[in-house]
Amino acid sequence: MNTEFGAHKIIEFSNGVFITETVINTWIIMALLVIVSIILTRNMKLIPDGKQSAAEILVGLMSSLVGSSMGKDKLRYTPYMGTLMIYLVVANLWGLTGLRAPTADLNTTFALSLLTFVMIHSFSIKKNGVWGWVKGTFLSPIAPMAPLNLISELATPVSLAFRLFGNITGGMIIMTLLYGALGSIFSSFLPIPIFMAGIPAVFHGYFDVFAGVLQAFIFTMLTMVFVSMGMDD
Amino acid sequence: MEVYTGLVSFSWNIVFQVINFLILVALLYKFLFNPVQKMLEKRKNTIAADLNNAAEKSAQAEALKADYEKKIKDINVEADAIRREARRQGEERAQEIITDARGRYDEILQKAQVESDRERRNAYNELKDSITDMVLDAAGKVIGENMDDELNEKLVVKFIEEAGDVKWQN
Repeated sequence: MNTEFGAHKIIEFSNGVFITETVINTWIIMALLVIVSIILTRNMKLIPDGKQSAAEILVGLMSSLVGSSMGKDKLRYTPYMGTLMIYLVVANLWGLTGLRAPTADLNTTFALSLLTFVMIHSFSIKKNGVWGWVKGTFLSPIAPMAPLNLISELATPVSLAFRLFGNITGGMIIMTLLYGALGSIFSSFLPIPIFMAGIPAVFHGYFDVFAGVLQAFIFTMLTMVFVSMGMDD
Repeated sequence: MEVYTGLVSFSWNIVFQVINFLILVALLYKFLFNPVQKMLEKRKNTIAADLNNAAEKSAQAEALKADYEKKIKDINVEADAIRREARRQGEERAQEIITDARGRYDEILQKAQVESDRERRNAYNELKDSITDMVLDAAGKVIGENMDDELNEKLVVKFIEEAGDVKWQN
């Protein structure tokens, strides 16, 4: 049984830079999503067929989610937030394929939460000006709160990243342990580890499907709320 | 070379993942969000245009209908007038025909009266002549043969006329 839970290095360059399975799996997911998108939106007509309706429902769902949590005036963020949601759902469910979920790696979750962090503050500065941003973000409600506000702002991306990472990695570790346990128990008196076939499905349903979709939703919702809150300061 | 990274460890992969995600956003924008949103917008515009068009057409139809209804009403009024005129003319013509017929009837009646009067007079005269002859004949036989014919005829005719005028005319 593999007891290493870190990401596997796939390619290592001579200067010490390496590419892990996280990045490779992300590439696979990207290719998959782009291919599905192209298939769904090929030959679009005014009167939609089945696959076009699916694409429209998906985009409509994302757009209504952005509209309801960020406001109708921020619908232009739909492509980013929609992509985030779709990518996270697929990435979190990626564990079901037997491959490592990209979100079970801090490098992925921190990459996304840093993007959220940058968006929160760059849009806030763009909207309110530098002074408005400083006043609204750090000196609110009163100036002495600045140190606490600073920690709070820095904690936002950290908590986002670790929440997602922890949930998905925890699920992955539990599933690995479960497979190991079921395999070792039943192999001692049965030639075929038959219980490895059915029992893990229940746990996959909870740790991968339920927690995965839920965490994707939470991450996206929090990103939307933080970004729009930053703009409204 | 180490095969596994640590479970909680950062590496250049965080940069790769940022780039990957931004590329994915761009790709999905190009292949999913932009085309679908454009299509939804296009459909919205088409439907709005169609609805406008339909409303316009409906208004036009309504106007046409009102126009035609008015025309039909006008036509009915006109038809009534024509019918009334035709009836009036027909009655006039009938009156004319009746008047004409009555005139001709009177004329014919008058002619028949004249004709019958003349016939009667002719018959009377003829009868008178033949009676005169007969009486003369008879009287001649009775009185004898030496009677002046001319004088006798005058006497007989006078007698018959005095008697006959009263008798024949009744």
